[in-house]
Amino acid sequence: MKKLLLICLVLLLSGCVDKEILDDINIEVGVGYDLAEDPKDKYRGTILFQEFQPDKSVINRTFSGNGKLRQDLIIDVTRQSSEPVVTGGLKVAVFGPKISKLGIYDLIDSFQRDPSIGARVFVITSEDKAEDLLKGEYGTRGNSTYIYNLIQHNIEHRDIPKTNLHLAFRNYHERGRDMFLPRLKKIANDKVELIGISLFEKDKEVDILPLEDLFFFKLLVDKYSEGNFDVQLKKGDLAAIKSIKSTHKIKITDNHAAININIEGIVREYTGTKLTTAVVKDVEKKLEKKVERECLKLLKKFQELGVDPVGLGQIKKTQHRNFDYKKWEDDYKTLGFEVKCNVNIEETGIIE
Amino acid sequence: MKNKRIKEDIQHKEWEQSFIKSKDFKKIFYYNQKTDVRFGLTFMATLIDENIIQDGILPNLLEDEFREIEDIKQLVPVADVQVCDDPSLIEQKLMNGYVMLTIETELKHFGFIAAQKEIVRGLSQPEVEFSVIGPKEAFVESMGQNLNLIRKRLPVKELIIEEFTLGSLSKTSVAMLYMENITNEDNINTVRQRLKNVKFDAITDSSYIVQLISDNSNSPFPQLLDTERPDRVAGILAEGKIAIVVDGSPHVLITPTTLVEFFSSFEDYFLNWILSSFFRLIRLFAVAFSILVTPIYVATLSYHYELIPKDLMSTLITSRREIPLPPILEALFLELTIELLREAGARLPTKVGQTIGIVGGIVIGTASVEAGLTSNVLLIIVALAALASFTTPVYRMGNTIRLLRFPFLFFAELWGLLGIVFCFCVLLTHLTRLTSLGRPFLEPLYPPRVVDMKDALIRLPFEKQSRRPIYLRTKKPIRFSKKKAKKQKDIDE
Amino acid sequence: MKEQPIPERLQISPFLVFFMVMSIQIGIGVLGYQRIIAMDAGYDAWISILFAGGCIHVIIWMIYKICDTAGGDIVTAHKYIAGNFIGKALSAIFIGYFILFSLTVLRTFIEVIQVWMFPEINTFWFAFAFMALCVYIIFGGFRTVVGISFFGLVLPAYLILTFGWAIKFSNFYNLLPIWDHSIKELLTASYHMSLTFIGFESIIFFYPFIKEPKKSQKWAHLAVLTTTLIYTTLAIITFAYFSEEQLSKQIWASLTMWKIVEMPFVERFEYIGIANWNLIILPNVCISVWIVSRLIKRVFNIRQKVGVFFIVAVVLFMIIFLDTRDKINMLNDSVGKMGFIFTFIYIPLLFAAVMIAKKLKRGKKK
Repeated sequence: MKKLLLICLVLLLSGCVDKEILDDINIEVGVGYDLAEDPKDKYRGTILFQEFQPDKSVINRTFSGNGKLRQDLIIDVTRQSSEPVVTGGLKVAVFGPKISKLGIYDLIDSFQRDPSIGARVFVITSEDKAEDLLKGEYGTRGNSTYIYNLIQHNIEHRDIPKTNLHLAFRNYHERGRDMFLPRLKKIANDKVELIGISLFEKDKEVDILPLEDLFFFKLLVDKYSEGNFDVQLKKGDLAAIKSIKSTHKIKITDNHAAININIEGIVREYTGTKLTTAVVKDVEKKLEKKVERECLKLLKKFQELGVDPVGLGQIKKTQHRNFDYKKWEDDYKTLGFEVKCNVNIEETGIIE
Repeated sequence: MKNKRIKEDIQHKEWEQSFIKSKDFKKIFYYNQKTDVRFGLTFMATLIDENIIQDGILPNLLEDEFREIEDIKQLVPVADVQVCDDPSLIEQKLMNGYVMLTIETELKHFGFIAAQKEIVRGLSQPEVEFSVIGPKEAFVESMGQNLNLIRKRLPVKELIIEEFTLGSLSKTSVAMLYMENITNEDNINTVRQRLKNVKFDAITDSSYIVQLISDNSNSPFPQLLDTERPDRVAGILAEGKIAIVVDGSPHVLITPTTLVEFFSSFEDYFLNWILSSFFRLIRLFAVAFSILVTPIYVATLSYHYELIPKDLMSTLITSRREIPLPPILEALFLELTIELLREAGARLPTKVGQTIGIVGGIVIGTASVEAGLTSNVLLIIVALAALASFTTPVYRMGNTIRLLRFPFLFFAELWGLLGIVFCFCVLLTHLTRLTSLGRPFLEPLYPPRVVDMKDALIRLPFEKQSRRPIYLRTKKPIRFSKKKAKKQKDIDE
Repeated sequence: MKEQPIPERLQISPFLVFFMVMSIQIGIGVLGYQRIIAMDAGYDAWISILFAGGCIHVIIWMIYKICDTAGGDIVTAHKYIAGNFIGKALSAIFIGYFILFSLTVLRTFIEVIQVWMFPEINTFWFAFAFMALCVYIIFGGFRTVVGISFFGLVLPAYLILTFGWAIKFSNFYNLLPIWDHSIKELLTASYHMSLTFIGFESIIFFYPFIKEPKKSQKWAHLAVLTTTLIYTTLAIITFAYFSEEQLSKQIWASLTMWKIVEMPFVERFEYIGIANWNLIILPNVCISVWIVSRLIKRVFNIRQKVGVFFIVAVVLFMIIFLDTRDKINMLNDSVGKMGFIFTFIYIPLLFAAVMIAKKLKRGKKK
């Protein structure tokens, strides 16, 4: 018994590890990076903390610092913070417009290297400075939760393809595929809005996909499980299609990519007089046409930009042995596309 | 010849010498007028039922043809009448509540007539193992009564009762019960041997036996199951286990036993198997919860803030904001408060105990939250853990679970979650090493025996339990033969 | 000189061999083997796992044949072919191997803890506590060691399910096209995979402790099969979850995959996973320390209790000097190579020798 006590005592004295007691630390929940004004430093970073009030409302606190490495920023901020800064609670990482054009690999890489950072962090780009975006006051549950939930539900129900730190990193490293990130804009001090998707070539932003294109973009790169889309009919009538489920199949032969998109949905709203079978057929036709047209346009655009967020290269690799990525880079420029869409409207709501 | 006689006389006097100091030592002489025999009755007044002497012994001895000691066997209408000539037995017999009969003419013979005063508490309801359904009888402090309760439930000749007298001062009668045709011979021998080897002066309760004959006395886990329900004892005897009844104790011991048995209430057998299996699982969950939840709280809050979901974060942080103590001290403070309440409640009369519980629970809890000593989240957690620890059907195991929380807290403070798992490994090793009567304590979990699982974590219907537990190595492993080749029934037949 | 048979109360049921073999196989390697095999054979490497698993069945068959013929463990087999003195000398080599094995496992686990959870945890004191626990287990005898192996496998088994979260973020087309690599690349991957598989050879050391050892052979095969399937499934999920270049950066791919797990009450799972891994590592160290202490007893006639303390002292002494990633890696590599040589080269040789000796002895009798 004495021996046991002695062992316990020794362990307690020498085995103890540094504690991070929940209320004695400052948990970094969001971080933003902008290009530094002073060229000596590489970037200016902003760290977002949450301060919980007794009534559980949240006060957003931001600290900014300059540095060359991600670590510099934390050191900088620690000098201003009353408690040690920890990174394990990170939810959102924002990149400002200038820095995303210059390349963000170093920073994303340091996220992957840090074991305390989760894989479900959302990496986003911002229209204006990331610092400003984080300094808003959105909702009552804190900025990071607000932005996180905003993107989360847009992925689940709307037009943003599945994304998070892990997927961004995977796409970045996948040969024959390029990374894309959702793009946000602060429109007022208490309002933030999704405005599109940033397309990257390697780690540099090359173009922004506007909101209108996102539906077709998601059809190409991801699956819909619950989407919405409005179809304009001839007579000026509108039909809203909901519960869209989509799948896509891409087949690439030597110099030709055949893309098959399958859509299932339900008509929820219709502004015309009567929703007959003929109208439903018409809706299907219209949507098919539109998808085919728009998707082709998108693919052409990607080709021009020299980016490949759809991952055509990778898809071709999975379909051909001894794939040569070098050759693909040239092939991609001349690749021909063919988009086929098949829409199937199953229900028309509870009235006819 | 004469010499010898005197010597015996002196001896006779010597044993009397030590007795005579006690005020309850009585020696009374009588004279039978029919046969002219003078005889003496010696007894301890405190142990004797005077009515037996008045009505059963004296009238016959005084008025009938009483000439020599041997006659008492016919004359006295008491079942337990012995005649012997060994003076060394005198002390033991007197102390067991016998009346000693001596005749002046026969100095070498003594008659012993049983006249014990039996003070038996009336049968009452089981208090610790109360069950809503099923019999409400519980054991009392008298061995005779207890044996009666068991024997009534197993009226077969195979039920053997072996008796031992243990304790150099207390001379406690201890009975070992087993089914001769079922119970494993090795187990019987081991228990017999261990009981014989018991060296202790005063054994006043079965708990002494538990500690004296356990395989590992340095373990916080009880290795003998104690019960106050005669129906449970009858049930386990039929399974092929051994019961130990101790005079003066309302708890009967059961051995060999396993860990899972401590979490099965006998009420489980009165309920439908689906319900009882569900309750057993709930109880198991409660035990795990009770041991682990406070350490997990300490570990998470001290080391692993990453684990906390973002929606819970605000609750935790706001509740802990004003608290000056680190999580471990906060948890220890509350755990110790609960332990104090429990101890105080257990030592006080029922009514006062209840008040203490309410005062402690509500007043101290609320006050310490308001004073900013503990967080309200932890208060909920500790209260739930305490509640969960009361679900253990066996009180002795409940005590163990109370204790186990503290090493886990220590390791949680030391290495966070890793420490909890480490401590769990130590506990697991301890349990794996533990045996009850040489049989593995963790059975049927380890060694894994699927057959015994039928009545462990869950309880399957009785028709599925046609075999006795394997680990008991019974002489008759089969309880009843299953009906063979049941005709397959179709719908609407 | 006839060896004393092991009394029955110390022996284990044949089916427990299943848990023994699996729990010593699954250890620290599972946390990061995907990267190593994918380096050689890319995303075809899962074929290599199946191939390596297949080879092991042959070795298991040989082990049982050796033990059956020699009628005991490896020391008996050595005596059988080379006589008492040389036999013992040969057996003594394995003392070193298993000490290094337990040292590697323990140190690598501590490294994982240091990288992922507690950078400041003191290597020596954690190892000290861990080894103290091992001593406590081994002093309970072989049955306790097996018991811990059993729980060390069954209780953390739920962890397999947690990799299911990764499937939602996986792209199984990554695995296509199948057979995009040469046979040579696949074989190299198989060789590297075998390092994750080693441990099953411990059967040759505890063979006399199995009740009706012949019946246990099918359990040993089943164990290897299960391990192979688990490794293959996990590898396939990993390959689908990571892109190839990304995987090449993940030292502990399995742990990284846990980062995606999110439950309503737990935001990040890897901390729970690593803590649970303690229970998986424990049998690894215990079995190997038990084997060494047994070997010491058989070879040098030293009491097993003394042997255990000796091993613990050696491990604790050596662990102080293993302080950098490079050294740990070097140790891992060399123990892996030793294990490969032992299982895939030495055991077949021993098998041949025993068979020849058997023929010779039979010839003499006639």
